Amino acid sequence: MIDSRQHESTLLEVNNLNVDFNTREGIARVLNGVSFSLQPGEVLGIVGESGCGKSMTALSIMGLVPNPPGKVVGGKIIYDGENLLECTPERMRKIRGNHISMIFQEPMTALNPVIRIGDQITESLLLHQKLSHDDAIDKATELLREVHVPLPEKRIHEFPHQLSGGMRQRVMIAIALACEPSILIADEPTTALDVTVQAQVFDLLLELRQERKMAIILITHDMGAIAEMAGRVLVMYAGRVIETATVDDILQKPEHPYTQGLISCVPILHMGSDTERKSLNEIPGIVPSLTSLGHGCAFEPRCQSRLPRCAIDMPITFDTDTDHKTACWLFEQR
Amino acid sequence: MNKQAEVIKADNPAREVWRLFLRNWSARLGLFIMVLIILVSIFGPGIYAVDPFSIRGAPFTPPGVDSNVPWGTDHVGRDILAGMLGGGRATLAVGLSAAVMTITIGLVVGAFSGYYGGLVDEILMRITEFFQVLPSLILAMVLVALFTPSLEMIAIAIGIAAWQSTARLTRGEFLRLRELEYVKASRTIGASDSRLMWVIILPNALPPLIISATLIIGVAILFEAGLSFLGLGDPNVMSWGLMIGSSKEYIFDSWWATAFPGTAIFLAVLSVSLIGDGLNDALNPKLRNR
Repeated sequence: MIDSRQHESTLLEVNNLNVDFNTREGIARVLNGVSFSLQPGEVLGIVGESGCGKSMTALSIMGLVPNPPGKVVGGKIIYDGENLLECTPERMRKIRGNHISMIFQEPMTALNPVIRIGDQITESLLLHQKLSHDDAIDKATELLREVHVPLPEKRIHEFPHQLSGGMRQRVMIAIALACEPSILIADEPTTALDVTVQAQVFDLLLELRQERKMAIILITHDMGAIAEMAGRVLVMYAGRVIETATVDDILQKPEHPYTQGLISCVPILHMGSDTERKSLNEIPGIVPSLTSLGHGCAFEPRCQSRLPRCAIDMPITFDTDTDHKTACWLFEQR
Repeated sequence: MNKQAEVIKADNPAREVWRLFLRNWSARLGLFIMVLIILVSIFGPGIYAVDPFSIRGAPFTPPGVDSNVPWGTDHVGRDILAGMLGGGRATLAVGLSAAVMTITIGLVVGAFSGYYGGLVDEILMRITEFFQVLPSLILAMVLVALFTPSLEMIAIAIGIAAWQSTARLTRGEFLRLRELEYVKASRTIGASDSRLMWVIILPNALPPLIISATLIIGVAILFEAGLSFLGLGDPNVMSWGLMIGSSKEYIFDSWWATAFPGTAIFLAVLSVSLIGDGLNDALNPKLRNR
């Protein structure tokens, strides 16, 4: 239950979102009843294995589900009192970049190689805000300074191939931030970067969130990134949200067997001389094909603590604690 | 932040392509011939001011006999040199404008087809295939025969007959590029379809299109020559094809009347092909270190 006071301050609310993909093997439900809400200024982490629907959730919010083969078949995405799924394409274009922005995984390929950095940053300023070209260039220089790119006056005249990976990711962030969006979706923003550069990018994102009161949706499979950045975490599996909790709860007392498995898969770095080197845990089995899901829990075939009914009934979501929700039959009695 | 690591030497990509282009001797040769032909066509008729249609000497005068007509005359006594100079202009003009026509049609069809995909792609590609199975020279002949055989009409006819390969090439590039992250990134900041097509994708699709545009100039020159040879050219404008066409029956009596314009066409098409090949090597990074 969401009480009304909390509801009023909600920035983005995704309600029972369903997305289908037409594949050769049949219809795959890539998002199945995904619901969550985002408060202003919060960092929401979305974790899960490849193909669990993390990126598709982001694309649905942006209204960029590739169609065909994909199609949003149900649900609501409420931003600022407006259902984004019912917007006209023109309205959606105004929201993209201006209110909700996105940064991508590969800074190497996410910048246009034939357009100068400055012109790429000013693109959204010129599209959404009626700035003159000179003002937009000034703003772009300012943005580059804000994301800590050295010598911004020089950089705006350069092409992407003249920048390093970390610098390109900063430029990407500058582009996404140009119109001061209230939501930034970061789809695995650091996967392609060195660890040291990763840490810098995370610091930058947190700093910008602080300054601009911007909410961030961080999509990743990196638990370390979640621990460092997120306030609340959504765990997804096979197109469903299976657990929602604060980051401390997820890391310290994960409830869903899948989340527990996920946490135990993370290697531990601080090994003293007294600790023995243990082999890493793994979750046995593979992610099921989305076209051949049965009626039961999608994780049931891989689950260590499965119940007889798990194979038959889809688990509903239980409130197990304040701000902790788990979709697993193990928690029914509580 | 370490500043010196960020200072990467800036290299202008256009200059780099130019340097690679010039490193290739065949491309240099092609460029040399092409520049020569263009200069002669532009300034030649001004310096050697003779009407190519006027009768200047006895018919079948061989080259080097009469100093009044240094390259000889054809079967009615028209000056071959004047025809060569004047015909160069017409041939180049038709070749160039036909190439522009071809590229324009092919680019628009290919861009829409590749960008939108689905039904749009299906319809446009079927139309392209329809034009592809028609023999293009015959299609151009029919178009010219139906309308007035002016230089503009010939250029348009060649454009309509030869745009299919450009359309397919453009479509392929757009199909590849529209899935790239920087195109998606532009979409996420709210760029419109037309902006994505012409500002974001097109510049990245240009290298193969520039190469094909160059080669199409050669094809267009050959088309114009072929049409003129068959008597479908503009009878009021001297062109190399027209010269060959009108002298073809006397080829054993006056070889020079066909050999000179024939060689000129050969050299023009060869130079265009060499330039296209050189551009391909320079613009395609995979071939750079050959």
